[in-house]
Amino acid sequence: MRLTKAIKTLLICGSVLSMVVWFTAARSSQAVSPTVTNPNPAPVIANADDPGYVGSDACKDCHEDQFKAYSHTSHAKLSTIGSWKGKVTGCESCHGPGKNHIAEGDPTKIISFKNKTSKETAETCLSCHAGKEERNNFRRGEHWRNDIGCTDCHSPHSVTTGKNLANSNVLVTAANAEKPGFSSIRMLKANDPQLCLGCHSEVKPAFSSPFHHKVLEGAMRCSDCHNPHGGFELKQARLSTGGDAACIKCHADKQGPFTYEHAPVKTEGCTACHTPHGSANPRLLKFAAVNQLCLTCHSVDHGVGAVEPSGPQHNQNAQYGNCTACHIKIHGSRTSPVFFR
Amino acid sequence: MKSNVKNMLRVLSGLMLVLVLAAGAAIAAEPTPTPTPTPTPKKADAKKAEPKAETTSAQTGEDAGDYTITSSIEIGYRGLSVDGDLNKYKSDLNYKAGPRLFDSSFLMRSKDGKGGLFDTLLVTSSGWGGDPYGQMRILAEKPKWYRFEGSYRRFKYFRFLDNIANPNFIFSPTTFNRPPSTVTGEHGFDTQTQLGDFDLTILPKNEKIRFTVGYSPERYSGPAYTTYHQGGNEFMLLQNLKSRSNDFRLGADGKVGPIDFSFQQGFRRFRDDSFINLGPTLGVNLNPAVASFTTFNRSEPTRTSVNYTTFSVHSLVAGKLDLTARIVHSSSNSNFTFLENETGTNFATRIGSGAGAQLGAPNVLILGQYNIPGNTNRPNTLFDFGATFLATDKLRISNTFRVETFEINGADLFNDFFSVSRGVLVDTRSFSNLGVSKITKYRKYQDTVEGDYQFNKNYSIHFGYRYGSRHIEQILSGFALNSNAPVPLTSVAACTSPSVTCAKDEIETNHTNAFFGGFKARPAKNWTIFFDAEHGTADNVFTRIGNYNYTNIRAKSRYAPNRKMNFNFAVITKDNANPSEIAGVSLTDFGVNIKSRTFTSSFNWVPTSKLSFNTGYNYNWVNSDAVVDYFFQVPPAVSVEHPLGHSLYFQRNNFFYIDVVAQLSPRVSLYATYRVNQDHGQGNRLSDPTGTPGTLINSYPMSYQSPEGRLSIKINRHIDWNLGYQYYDYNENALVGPRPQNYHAHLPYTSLRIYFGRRE
Repeated sequence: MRLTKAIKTLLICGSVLSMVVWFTAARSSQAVSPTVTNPNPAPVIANADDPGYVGSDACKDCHEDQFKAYSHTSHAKLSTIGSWKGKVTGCESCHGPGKNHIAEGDPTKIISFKNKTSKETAETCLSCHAGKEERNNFRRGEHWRNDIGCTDCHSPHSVTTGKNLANSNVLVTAANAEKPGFSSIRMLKANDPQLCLGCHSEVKPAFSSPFHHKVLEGAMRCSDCHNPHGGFELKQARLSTGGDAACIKCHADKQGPFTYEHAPVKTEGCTACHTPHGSANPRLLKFAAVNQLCLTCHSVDHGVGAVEPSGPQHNQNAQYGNCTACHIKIHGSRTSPVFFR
Repeated sequence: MKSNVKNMLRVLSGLMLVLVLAAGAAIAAEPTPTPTPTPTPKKADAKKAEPKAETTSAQTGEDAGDYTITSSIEIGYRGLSVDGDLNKYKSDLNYKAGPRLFDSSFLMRSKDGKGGLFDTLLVTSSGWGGDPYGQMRILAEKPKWYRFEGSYRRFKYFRFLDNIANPNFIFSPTTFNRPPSTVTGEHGFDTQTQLGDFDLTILPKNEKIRFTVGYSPERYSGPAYTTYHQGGNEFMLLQNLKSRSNDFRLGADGKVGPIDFSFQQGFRRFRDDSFINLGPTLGVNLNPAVASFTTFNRSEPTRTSVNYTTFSVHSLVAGKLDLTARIVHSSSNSNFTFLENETGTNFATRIGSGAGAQLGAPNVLILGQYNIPGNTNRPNTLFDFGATFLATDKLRISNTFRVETFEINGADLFNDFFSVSRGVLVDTRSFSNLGVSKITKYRKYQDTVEGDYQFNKNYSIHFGYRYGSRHIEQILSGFALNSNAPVPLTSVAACTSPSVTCAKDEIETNHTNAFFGGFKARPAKNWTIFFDAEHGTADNVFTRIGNYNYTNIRAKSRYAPNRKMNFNFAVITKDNANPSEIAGVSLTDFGVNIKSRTFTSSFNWVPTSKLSFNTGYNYNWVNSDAVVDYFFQVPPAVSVEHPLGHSLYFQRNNFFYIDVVAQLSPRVSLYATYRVNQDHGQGNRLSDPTGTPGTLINSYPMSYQSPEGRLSIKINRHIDWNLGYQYYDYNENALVGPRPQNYHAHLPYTSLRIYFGRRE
């Protein structure tokens, strides 16, 4: 009761304070405009009739390669879209007004990201890309926390394609870069999962185990289950159909609701028992034998966790003491409190 | 508690309303933006602005009117030769011999961003023509108007393995007339899943409003074995699985004043029409004196609906305060009728023994029937609120708060009928309309306070604290169905000791405190180190494998001396000790300790544009020790022991891989890879279930290696000829079972890759 009151008070005070800050700040924010001297170059949705802005074509003469590559990206096409008309698009939308830079040829008169931190660079991207729920939590996500920014994965200037070289028949590899794919559309530096595995190499063995989700084979992507842009869930996992775990999206028969639910499925999540990336176990269980997994909780009946199995029918003299040979519906049953049918 | 949750939801709803109203006020206070015409470029500038045909990687493609097309398709033939355990091969890989569409991609792009129906069309696919998994993805967009993304995937699952549900593997009471079996387990299946995701966004680049419509179908079907303990025997039943779900969703997201919003309403409809329909079926125990079916059929038609709503708002106030709130509510409802009819012989009927029991074997089961209709619903609400204050350019402070509640209300109505005959005697027992209800209530509060500080481009730290509080309550009411004359469950208060006749009213709470922190450092220009750690404690756990007293540490290093080379190393440790404490009293004798250590390394080197190496080594070490009590019988001994002991699990997995890509000549390139997982598992440790203390030891000692090579020969600009070979070698240690499921598979293939719009 006390906790509830405390949270209520906290929420009400917090919301009032937020409102005050919000309104105060909303007024002051109207004066914000990008300047070269601003150490934090976001946000940069400025008005195109600002005399400081000269247009992307002016950049082409000196930065020809970047311009060529950039001109075919979706960034370059923004100017054709109604809601962006009159606003600065093109190179200057990120690099700021170029007039002085062009006139004086001074590299300090234009915003450069070479010496920006990942977070500062990310702020520039977020000034346009923050509007979708997918990215609402970027500033609280694991990548942000560890100083991984947008340009660590995305290439804002161009779509990179490689040479045509031999590549695997069943694995998504870096060698098949010339083949156009979704990574080029999303301006990723490499394909998903290659990009993710570059840092998260600890999951590689799991994806090469006898049983695994078919990520390396291209039938799934890391981003099918994880939101690389952050989120409220642990491990930046996605949710499916409302508040259910990402797994439920494909494993619909585990969604329930069941009259008799195996409580940990919903309270602890699928990963309480399963290793989702891969395993030598055909059910992707955490342990090799199912009875070990079950006994870890269902043992020593003292009120914590789960009821202890009783009687000789639970003889463990079996190489694969198979709890699930009888307790078939282990995720949840509609008619059996002990998951028999 | 329920009222507290309701109050909390009221407060939160009020807060949401305030936020929305405030947004409206903010919009009203803002000056209406006046569209500014695009400045007319000067003549010289206009000339510059004219698109010039340039050949870049992005522009590669065949000319097709207003579009360019870049496409490739690889078709060929795969051979197959498998030695050893074919079922294991099919369970692991299931690649088949025959013609294949290995892979295809098709990209059509408008030249000037002003295509007709679309500016971009991308279709990719792989794995069609008999491979166990195939996928096709499509993207079509005209950024000004729409964006459509779709995917269709099909997975074929095959599992016939010793180690899925095989009690006969060793378990063989002397009363069985069937010897220990090493054949595959009882839960084999050969099924198929088809999944789709189709999402259409209207006005995808519109800053103010975007509309979304989506549809995701899922189909699951195929034969599968299940088991059923009934009548004193165990039956292996072939069932026909058939379920489907359709998920429809629509929504909108956009910007109102300073607020980004996102709304989605979804409807998922799930139906399960799986059934079993069998004639005479013998049990696993073939002894003619025990039960067998003459007919058996079961169906459980289920219809589930899930309606879900997601609403989120986000705003960055003056570039200083990032606010995000999200509420997700779903309402799930499941209706079903379980119907099972069976006839047979020598049934030990479901109810009773001794005086008053139904006629036992030898008998004839004239009819056994379960008719159980039921309904379950589950409202689930999730609210999250995150606020990040960008205090300075370097310091950020965040708070994230979550409330989650759900309640599962399940109610079944049991109707049982069992009629047996022995000679001229007929004994019928039945009951009907006996209700059982189970309610599960759950709520969770969690708050995380964290900060991060950026010293400069090279150094940053983060730190935080998370508090969580969870509460779960389970209530069982209705009838105890374990007798011929079911009676209402005894109330919890009147129950003197746990019993199946007691109403269950279990309440558990759990509070956790966790601290975490870490840093990113670049001690040298080309060397980056990531480190983070988390330590948490709890006062209780819902499951003994849950986090109780845990410490997780992760350290990663990336060294890139130049753009062509990089070295990566990482160490990850996780420790969780769970003494199964109750109300502050430690039960250390019944603890669970799980430790894992992971070392990972990789080296990537691209010495020239014609040669690249990627290699790495990982080591995974896991020790799990849980104190357990268990039942154990060593045939032919009749007595069953019930010792206390340790359940131990070990993993000692070594993983190594190397990929090499080489362009041997302008027309010939080579890809070669080798991957191996080798788990030494428990080493020479052996289970001693009857020891003092007893030990149950398990692991998965095996090796799994797969080299692959491919030679690609460029015939001309449009065609490559490929020759490839894959080899899979799987070996289990004898500890895994008396009949190791080893196999060796050879998969040679040849293919042609045909290009359109290929770069020279």
